[in-house]
Amino acid sequence: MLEGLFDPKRWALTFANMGPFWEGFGVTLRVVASGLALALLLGTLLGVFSTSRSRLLRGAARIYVEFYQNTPLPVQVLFMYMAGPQFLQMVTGAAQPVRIAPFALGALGVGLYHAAYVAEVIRTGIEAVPRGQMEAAQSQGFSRVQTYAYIILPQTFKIILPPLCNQALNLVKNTSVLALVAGGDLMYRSDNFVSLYGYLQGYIVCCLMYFAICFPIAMLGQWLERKSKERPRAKVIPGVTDGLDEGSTARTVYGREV
Amino acid sequence: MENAKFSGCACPSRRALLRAFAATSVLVGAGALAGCGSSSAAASKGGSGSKLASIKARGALNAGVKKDVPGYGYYDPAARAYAGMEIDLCYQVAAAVFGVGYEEARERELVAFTDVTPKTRGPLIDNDQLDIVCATYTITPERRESWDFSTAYRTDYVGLMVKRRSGFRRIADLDGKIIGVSQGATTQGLIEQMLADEGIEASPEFLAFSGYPIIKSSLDAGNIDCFAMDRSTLAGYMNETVELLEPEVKFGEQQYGIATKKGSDLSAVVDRCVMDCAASGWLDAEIEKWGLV
Repeated sequence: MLEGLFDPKRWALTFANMGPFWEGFGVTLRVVASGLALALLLGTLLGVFSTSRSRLLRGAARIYVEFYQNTPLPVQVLFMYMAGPQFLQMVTGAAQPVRIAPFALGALGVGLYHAAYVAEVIRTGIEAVPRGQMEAAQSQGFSRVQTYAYIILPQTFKIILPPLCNQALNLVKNTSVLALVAGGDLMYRSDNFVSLYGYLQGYIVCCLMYFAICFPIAMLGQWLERKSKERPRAKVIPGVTDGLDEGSTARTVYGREV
Repeated sequence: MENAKFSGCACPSRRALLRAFAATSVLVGAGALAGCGSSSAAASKGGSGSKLASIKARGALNAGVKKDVPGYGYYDPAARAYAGMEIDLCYQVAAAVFGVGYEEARERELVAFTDVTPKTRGPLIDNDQLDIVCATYTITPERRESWDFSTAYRTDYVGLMVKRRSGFRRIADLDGKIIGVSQGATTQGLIEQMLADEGIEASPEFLAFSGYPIIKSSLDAGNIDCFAMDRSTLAGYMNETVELLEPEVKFGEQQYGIATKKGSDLSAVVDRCVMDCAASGWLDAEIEKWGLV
């Protein structure tokens, strides 16, 4: 099997049968887009819940996070796949089991799973900004909304960016769980190709395609991270900041000498 | 090759008929054994030696069978024994090898069973762990290159398993429905061929899964409408909630044969035994006995 990896004929046949791969690529992209949207939305909500004063909201978020963090994704997806149609039939009262489209199953599966991780990232991000920042801002006359907008959230963003990017990358790769239930995604298509022809080329093409999705996300994450680390510069307001020399703004950040 | 006497398949129900060609079978069998004497001599140069002699020295025939295909080869955990048509056939082969009757072969337990999977059955013959494999093994030209196959003892077809609750009556009802097949299997092509041959206006969608159990659970869950596979395999998943769709439409024919090591002196004995069992009507009786469709 290994020597076949360098066989040009096999590569030619693989490239002649790229149709299913691109179809799978499209399915995976759509699952990633909607799964990521769901994970970010639900995750942020749960993350804010975890830091709220309400015991009920905190408890609910805790249970959700612990459940999804401590059970494997394939089990969750297989369970939804097997139990879903008959559960929906019971709920809707339909004559036959109601099928869940593989796309919806994938988006829901990775979305719910990664929402738990995103919630933890958001919670730790909020908690990492010292309470003193809030008090200091308010003592300077910032309103609550202004405090969040100008003081707390910019700092939170910087903290959560790297782990959030990790979550996005893992989410992309975890969509391959759909292959378990013949979901038509990239992993499924390449696995089909390999079991049909016995050419490992299918897996290499598959890797390259996942890489093509993940690498730009990783780059974007790094760019945002670099950008957020740039020192904040004071706004130049003509007639007000003219009197200050440039050196003083560069030397002090948050009132500390740097 | 001290035992030139060759006993045909001694089936109690057809004893009279058997007695008639027992004499001929002794002659033909002796001829067959003599014939393969030269080939086994050639094989022994490669170090494999006489299969027949080593089986007799061991006192048992090592047979690879299925353990999860009811009717063909099934291991009953309650009875702690294998049962099925292929199991009975293994005893027939043992009877032929040891030169005893079928009932005696059963009583003396002259067969040692090992369960095999599609992945293991070839290699287990190659490394001499098994003498014969009788495990819904389809005879194909490619496989003939690697192993010896007996005459086919059974012809199987592709079956279409559907849920009773779905209310399908005819194959045409599968139009636009989802059929689950096994990855790497030829089932999809066989079904499309059958639809064209029978002139059925239906274009179902096919989904390939990595294993049989997940196809069956998908069918039970309602994610697919039909589970298409060899009928022998489907038999293992039969229950009161499912049925075969139009079983009288037979397509995707495949022949099951007993595999033996390429060029071994056992091959001719096995082939002769299967042919005798077919001629005596024993195979037909077995198919009826095990309710094979």
